[in-house]
Amino acid sequence: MDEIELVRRCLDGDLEAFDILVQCYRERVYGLALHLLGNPDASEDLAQEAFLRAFTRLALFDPKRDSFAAWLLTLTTRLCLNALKRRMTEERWLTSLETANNEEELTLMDETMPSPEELWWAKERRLIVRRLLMTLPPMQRAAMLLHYGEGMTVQEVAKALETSVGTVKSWLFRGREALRRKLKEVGVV
Amino acid sequence: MKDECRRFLPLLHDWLEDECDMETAKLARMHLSQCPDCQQIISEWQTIADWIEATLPEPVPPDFDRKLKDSLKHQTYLPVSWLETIASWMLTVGATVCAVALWGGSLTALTHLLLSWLVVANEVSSLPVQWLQFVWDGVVRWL
Repeated sequence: MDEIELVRRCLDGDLEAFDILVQCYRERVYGLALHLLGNPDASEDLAQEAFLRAFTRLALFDPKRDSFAAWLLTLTTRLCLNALKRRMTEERWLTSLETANNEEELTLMDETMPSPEELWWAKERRLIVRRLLMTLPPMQRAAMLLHYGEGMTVQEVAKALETSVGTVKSWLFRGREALRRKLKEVGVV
Repeated sequence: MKDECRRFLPLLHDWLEDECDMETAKLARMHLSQCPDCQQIISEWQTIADWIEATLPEPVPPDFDRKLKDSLKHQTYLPVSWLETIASWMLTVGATVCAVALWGGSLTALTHLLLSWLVVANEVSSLPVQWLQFVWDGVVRWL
C-alpha cells in the first residue's frame, strides 16, 4: 500500500496503518541506530523513541518535501546524534567501544563454527563494517550511513544533518577513504 | 600511491558520486583509463558502499513490536507532545503580550511577529496555525 495513504490513515487514528509502517521500517531504523550508537540496548530504546516520535509528529510529515523514509530516518539520525552528544564525550565513547568490540569478537568466535561459509562471511562482514564505521566521527558516520546505507542523496543528507552539501561531500570522501585504508590494513579488500 | 593519484582522489570520488561537471568527469575518465591503482581504489570504494548498504538493516530484538505497541497505547494522538503544546501556548501568549507592550499595539508589528512565530513554530515547535489565529483574533478584538 502507498505510504502516503498509510500516513493519511494514521492521521485518521488507524493504528494498524502505523503498525504496517513500523513493520516496513523497523530493521532500517534499528540498524541505523545500532550503527550510530554501537550499543544494542540503547539502539532499541532509541528506535522505539523514533517510532513514538514519528507517531506523535506524523501531522508534520509533508510528502511534497520528503519521502516518508527520508523523514523517518532523518528523525532517527537526529535523535541518535543528540543522544551521543548528551551521553558522553568522544573519549568516553571510544573507551566503551573497545569493550563492545571485545564482546563482539567473542560472539563471533562462537557463531562462526556451525554456519555455512556465506552466512559466516555475511556476519563477519557486518561486524567488520560496523566496527570500522564506529571509528569515524559521529557526523561523518551518519552521513555515510544515510547516503550509502539508505540511498539518500547528498542534498537530503545535508538537510538531515543540518549542514552544507560541500561538507557532506567532504565527509563522504574522507569517510570512504578512511574505511578503505582500514579494510586494506586488515586485509579484507 | 603516486602524487598525481593522490591529487585525483577527491575528483574521482566526485565523479563516482555523479557530483561533478562534464570537464571534471572527462579528466577523471582519462586518468582512470591509464591508472590501474585508481581503478582498484574505485572498485574498493564501490565495495565499501555495497557493504554498508547490505549491513544497515539489522533484525530487531524479539519483543520490539510488543514494547512499541505498549508504548503506543499510552499515547494520546496529538500532532505534538503535551509538553510542547503547553510550551508553545506560553511562548505565543508571552510574545503577543511583549509585542503589544513594546509597540503599543501596532498591528503591523504584531502581524510580523505572529508570522515569524508561525514560520519558526512549523520548524521547531510545530505550533498549529489555528492557535495563532485564535490569539490573533483575541488581540484584534482587544485592540
